[in-house]
Amino acid sequence: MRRVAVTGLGVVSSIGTGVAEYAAGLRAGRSGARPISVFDTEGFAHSMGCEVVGFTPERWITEQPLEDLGRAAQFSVAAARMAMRDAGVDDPGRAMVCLGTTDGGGDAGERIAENIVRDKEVPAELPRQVPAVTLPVAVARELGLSDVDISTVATACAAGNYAIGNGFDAIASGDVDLALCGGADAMCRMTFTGFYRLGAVDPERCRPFDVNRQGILTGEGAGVLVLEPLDRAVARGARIYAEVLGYGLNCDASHPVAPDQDSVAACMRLALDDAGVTPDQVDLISAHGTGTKANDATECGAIHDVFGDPPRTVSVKSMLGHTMGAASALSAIACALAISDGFIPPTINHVETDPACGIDCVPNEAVEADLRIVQNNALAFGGDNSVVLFGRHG
Amino acid sequence: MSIMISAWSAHSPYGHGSRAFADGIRGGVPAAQMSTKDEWAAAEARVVPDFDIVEQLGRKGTGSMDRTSALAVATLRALQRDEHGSVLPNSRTGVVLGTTSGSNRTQFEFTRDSLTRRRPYFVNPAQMPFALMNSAAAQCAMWHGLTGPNSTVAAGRNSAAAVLRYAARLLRTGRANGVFAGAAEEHSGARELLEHGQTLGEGCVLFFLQTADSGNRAALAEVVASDTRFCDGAPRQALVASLRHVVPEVDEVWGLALSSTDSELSEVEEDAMGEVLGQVGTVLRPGRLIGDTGAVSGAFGLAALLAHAETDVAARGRLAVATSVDRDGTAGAVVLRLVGSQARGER
Repeated sequence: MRRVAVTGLGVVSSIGTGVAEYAAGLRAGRSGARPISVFDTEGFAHSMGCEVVGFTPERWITEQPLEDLGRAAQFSVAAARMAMRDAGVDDPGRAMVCLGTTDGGGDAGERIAENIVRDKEVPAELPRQVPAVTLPVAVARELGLSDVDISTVATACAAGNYAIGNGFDAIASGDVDLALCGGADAMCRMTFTGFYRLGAVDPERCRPFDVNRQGILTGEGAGVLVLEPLDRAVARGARIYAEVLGYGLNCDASHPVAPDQDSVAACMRLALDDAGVTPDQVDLISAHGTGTKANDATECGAIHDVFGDPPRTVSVKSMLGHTMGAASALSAIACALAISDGFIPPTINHVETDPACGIDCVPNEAVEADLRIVQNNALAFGGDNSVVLFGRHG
Repeated sequence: MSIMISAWSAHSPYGHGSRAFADGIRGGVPAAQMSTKDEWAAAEARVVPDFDIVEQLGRKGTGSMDRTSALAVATLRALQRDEHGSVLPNSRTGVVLGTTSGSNRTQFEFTRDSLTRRRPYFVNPAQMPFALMNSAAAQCAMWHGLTGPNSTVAAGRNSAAAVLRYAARLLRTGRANGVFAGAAEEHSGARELLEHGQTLGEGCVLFFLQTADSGNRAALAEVVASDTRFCDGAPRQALVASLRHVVPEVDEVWGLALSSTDSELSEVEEDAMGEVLGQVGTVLRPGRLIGDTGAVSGAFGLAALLAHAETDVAARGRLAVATSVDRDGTAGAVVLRLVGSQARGER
C-alpha cells in the first residue's frame, strides 16, 4: 500500500476563493453569512445563508461553454483548476476525479420545475445541467484528462469525505497516480426550505455547540484536494500539506434524518483503526458541527464515547454555513491547512457552550497550535457517516 | 483478490424478481408499454408492473417514499427471497447504488409545493430525505439493517462500471465484506422532462458481491474489470479505449450487452464493438425490450448476460462484456468471467 499525500488545494467559498484567501478567512474567523440572493426568499421570515459572491467563472473555465455548466459544476471546475495549479503537477498520469455532492445539478432541476409550474418555456440548457455526473465530467474536460476514473459520490452531506476516502484507496492501491477529490454544491431552494420547515435554520448566524444554537445556515461552494502517492510527492519536491492516514465509513441504518450516537462513534473508531491511530493521538477534531440541536449534542456525545477527554473540537460551518456536499471537503481542507500552517480555526458566533456538547470549541478566535493528527467528521441524512484522519508529514 | 457476483435480482418492466426478468429477456418480446401521465408530462413508457409502493412495502415508513427507493428496497428483498435466505448480511455488509440524479419526481414535487402553497415553507418535511440522491441506498440499509459502507454513485448511464469499480474497491480494501451493488431509476413525468425522445423504462438491479475467499456460496461470475473513460465529445473513442483496456483476449468473449436505446448512441456502441471485438456470437440490446432505464441500463445489460448464460453451455468460463456510453464523451465497460458450472434450477 502506498502512503497518500495532500499536495494541492482549491477552494470556492463564502469566506474566500483560493487557498490563501480561505486560510486567511479561517484564521480571521470570517463569517460568510449574508442574505440569500440566488433564489426568491419572499415569504420566509428569515433568509440568511452563506452564499458565494463575486465568483467569476470565466476566470477558471476556458475549455467549455459556461452555459453548459450549472453553478455547482462551475464551482467544481474552478476549485479543481486551483488545486492542480497549487499542486504544480504537469502530467497527472492515470487520474481520478471524484466529487461529492448533495444536490448535483438540483438547482437547475428546481428552475425546470418552476418554469413548468408557472407555465413558462423551459430553457434548453437546463436539463443537461441536472445529472450529478456533470460536476466531475466538467472537471475532466477542463483539465484535458482522458485516462480518468470519473465519479460522483452522492452521499448527501458526508459526500466530500466519501470522495476523499475513495481517492485515498485508489492512490494507496495503485489504481491511479493522482486523485482530484472533494465536493461541491450550489445553494438551492430545496435544502433551505426543507431545513427551514424542520425548524433547523438559524435566523441570523450559525453557532455550533452554543447553548442557544438554532440550526444551520445553508451555504455553497467547492473544495478540491489533490492526492498523490507520498513517495512521488517527495520525489518531485512538492509541498505536502498533510498525509491522509485513513478513513472509516458506516451507516446508521436506523433513521432517515436523526443521527445515531453509537453508530457515529463506531465510524470514528473505524477511521482511527484504519489509520492506526489511538484516540489520545488526535490533536483536533473538525466536527460535522452543523449547529442544529440534535446534531451537535449527538456528535459530541459520540466524541466523548470514543475519546473520553476529547481534543479541541471545532466547526468551520460556523463560518461557512452548511455547504452540503462541499462541507466535509472544505472541512478537510481546513484540517490540512491547520496542520501545515499550525493553527486551529475557531468556532465563531460562540457565546456559551452547551453542557450537552461539553467540548472546547476554540470559541471565536483562532489559536496557534502544533498539530500532528487531525480528524474530520461528516454525517449525512440517511445515516451515512464518514470520518477521515489527516496527519502531518515529517 | 477476485470479486465474485454470487447472486442478483431485479425489478424490471418484465416484473418483480430475477426470474421475471430472465424469462422476459430470453423471450425477446418487448415489455409492455403503457400510457403514463402526471402533472409534469404524459408519455408512453415501460414501467415496473403492479408496483404500488404501499402494496409492496406496507404503510410504515412509506408515506413519503420515492419510487426509486421503493424499487431498491423491494429488489434487495427479492434477492434475499430468491436465494432462500442464503445471502446473509452482517455488520460490514454495504450498499453501493448508481443513479442519475435521484428521484426527480420527489424533487419537483417539493419545489412545486414551496412555490405554490400559501407559504413557501408549507412543504412536507418527511419528503426531504427522499428527495436526496442517497435515499435509495440509505433506505436499503434501514429496511435491511445494513450498517456497512453505504454509497451512492451518480454516474448516469455509466453507473454499472462506476458502481462495480467502487464496490470492488470497498471489498479489496476490506471496508466491506459483502456489497449489494447495482442501480435504480424510476419513471416519472419529471424524468420525461429531462430525457428527450426515448421510450423510458425503469427498474432496479442488484448484485451481491463478495471476494472469492469469503463464504461458500457458488458464484455466478467474477468481475474481471470495470472501467470508465472520457474523451471530450467523442464517446466512441472513449469506449474503444476502454474495451481495448479491459478485453485483452477478444477470443474469450462469449457475449456482449449494449446499453443504449437511441440510434446515435447505439451506433457508437456498435462501432466500438466492431472495431475492438469484431464479431461476437451473443449480442444483447436489452434497452430495446425494456426501454431507456438510465442509470440501470448497464446493470440490466449484465443481468441479461447472466440470464442468457444460464441456458447456454457455451458461455461457461468465458467473458461477458457490458458497455455504456453517454453524449458527454464518457464510456464504461464491465467484464465478467462466467462461472456457471452448476445448473441454477431455481431461477
